[in-house]
Amino acid sequence: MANLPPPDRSIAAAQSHNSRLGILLFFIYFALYAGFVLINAFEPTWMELRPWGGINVALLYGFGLIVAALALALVYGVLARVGTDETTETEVTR
Amino acid sequence: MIHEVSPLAVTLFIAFVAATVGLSFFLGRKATTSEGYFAAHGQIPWFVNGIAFAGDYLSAASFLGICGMIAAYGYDGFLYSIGYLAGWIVALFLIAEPMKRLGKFTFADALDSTFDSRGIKLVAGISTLVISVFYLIPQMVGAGALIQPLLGLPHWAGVVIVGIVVMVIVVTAGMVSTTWVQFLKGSLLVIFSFVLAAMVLNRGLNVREGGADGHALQSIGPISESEFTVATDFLGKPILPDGDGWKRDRFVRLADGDGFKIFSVTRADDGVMLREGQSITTNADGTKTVDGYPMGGGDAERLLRPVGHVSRLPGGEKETGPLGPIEFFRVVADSEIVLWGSDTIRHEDGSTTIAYFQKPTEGERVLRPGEHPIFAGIRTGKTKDRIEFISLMLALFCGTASLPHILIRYYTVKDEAAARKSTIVGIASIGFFYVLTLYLGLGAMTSGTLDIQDTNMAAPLLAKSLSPALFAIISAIAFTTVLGTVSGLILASSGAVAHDLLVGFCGMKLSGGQQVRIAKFAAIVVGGIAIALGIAFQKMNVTFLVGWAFSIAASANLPSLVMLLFWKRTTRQGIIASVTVGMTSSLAWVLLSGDTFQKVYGLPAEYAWAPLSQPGIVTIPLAFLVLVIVSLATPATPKR
Repeated sequence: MANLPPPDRSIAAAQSHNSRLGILLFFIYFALYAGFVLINAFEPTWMELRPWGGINVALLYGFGLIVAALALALVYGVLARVGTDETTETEVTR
Repeated sequence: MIHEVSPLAVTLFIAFVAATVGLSFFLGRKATTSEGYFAAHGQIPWFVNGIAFAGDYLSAASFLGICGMIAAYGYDGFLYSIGYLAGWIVALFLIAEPMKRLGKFTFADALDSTFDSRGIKLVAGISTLVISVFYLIPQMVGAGALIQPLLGLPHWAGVVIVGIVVMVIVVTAGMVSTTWVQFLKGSLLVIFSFVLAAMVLNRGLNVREGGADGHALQSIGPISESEFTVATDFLGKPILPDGDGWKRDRFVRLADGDGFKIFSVTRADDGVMLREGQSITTNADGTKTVDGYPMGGGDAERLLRPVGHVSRLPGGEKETGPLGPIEFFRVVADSEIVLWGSDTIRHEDGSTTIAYFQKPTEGERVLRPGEHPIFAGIRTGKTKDRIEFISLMLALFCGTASLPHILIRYYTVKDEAAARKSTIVGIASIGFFYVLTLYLGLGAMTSGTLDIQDTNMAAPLLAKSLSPALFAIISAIAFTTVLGTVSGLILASSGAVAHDLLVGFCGMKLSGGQQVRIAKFAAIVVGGIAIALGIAFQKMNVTFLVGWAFSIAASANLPSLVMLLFWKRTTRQGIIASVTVGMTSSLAWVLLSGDTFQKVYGLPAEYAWAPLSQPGIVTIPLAFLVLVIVSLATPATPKR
């Protein structure tokens, strides 16, 4: 363990990490959104099915997308990194 | 419908406007430099900025338009809520932090950050102006719709009042005051929408025979086809003869005093059913009559009645009492709700009658997509209609992160972490509000207070049905909603003129103070244009108009911004070409679409040149493609 290089905590590394994380989360949400749009466009009758509690798919999926947006935003907020300015050794909040 | 003016509403409205303008003057001294005027010195706390995002974004389209569309058609309005929120995912995951890192005052700053190109500043500045003006139209239309019931003033007066107040806000203190106005407005809007939704659930649903004015709508039948054909009177009133546009096959008019009662005719397996409707005639001389009577509140006059009621609850109940948030949807789904449709009848003397008729609708249909004309295409099975739907949803997804007044808000916080955190706060508050829109819209649909001519007033009128004080508060908040969004848009436009076009493109050497003065002058000019367009587009649904602005923004701005961030081979020429093609193609498409022909030019939709009404599915990929081709065809641009 002692031989492992120290993690790169530079601003550039933090930006790169956040960018990769953002792209991954973006594609997860995009897949969910695209599924909703395509079902509406090509199989709109599926939206009328009531799989849970007497509530139809249109409501469950629609509210699900709003909840998923907030959940993924929070995941991003927790996992996004903060970089350190190597010239001054001070942590900068970016 | 003519609304009574509430003194409480007027008092609160004046207090809200006075507080807003007072705040602007108070904060004005902090905005004498260009950094202060355009970006609030980058010192806005991230939480305040996040709520201000909600204040910026939850515009008249969201509060008035979406609630109105849900109230009139059901679930379809919620599709806009879903699309508008989804766009914030693009903003958070792809745009927020780079935008803060690259830019200073405007969208063009970020786009031009590595090139120092006058061409980029020019096209980005023009695109900001075009998108802002298109987005301003629905806000001003919404202001006009609000002012009529609130102050009893005509539509144009509302537009002019908003224009003048916003000019004062923007000219006095720029981004500092705009941010705090948006913060207050965003907070109040979300809090009071929650209160309103809670009151809707607490009231529950009840069966009525008409609107909240207490008039029980009459119905006749079912009767046999032969009985209907030979009848000369119903309810003891003679049937008025057909002719001059009237056809008994569709509407029956019964003589009633100096006017008539109108009934729509529907046929089912058990016979012919006649249901009471309403009509308004615009005469050749401009006067109006309601069911044959002069329009007005006097003795010998008539007004259109408020509408929207539940005609059947599950289990034959008459009222439900308080309902839980999930139970509410379950009960709506198993009920029958009376929606309203309309037919236009043209007469020989040049007058026109709009005949409104009841549409008893199963709750299941209300809670599924595809009832509104914009979305009805998904049930036709036609490929063109499906593409139209996908195109709109794509534009909503891509449009948010391309709106200039949203993008400049990333410059008001101190760093990228603050930009990220404020976007998350924005998503939380905006998402919560959009959840509430469905309760507000369905509450308005069943409250008996809907204005049959203007769905934009659904949410304030719902509040009126619950409490006059709440109506006053909600109307005043809705008005500040318009103020906040319009302020942001005018600020973005003025920045584009002063910072991008005059300094960036024309190369004028202006000090920070001079830039601020020119920006203030530009704000007045753009405000004047917004007033004129707000009056001209009075009759359009505000949500529909916002769809256009999103399409243009998504086509003009997003492709170049995304490619600049994620494709190293992007060149200066590629960005200029992409913004130019994206903006002009989407703008031309919108202006040549069937919807514009029909609703703006008054021409048949068949004459339109554009094959679809929503351009996004073609123009967004086109802008990406143009950027790639031009970038590959031009030498890599040296980065500064």
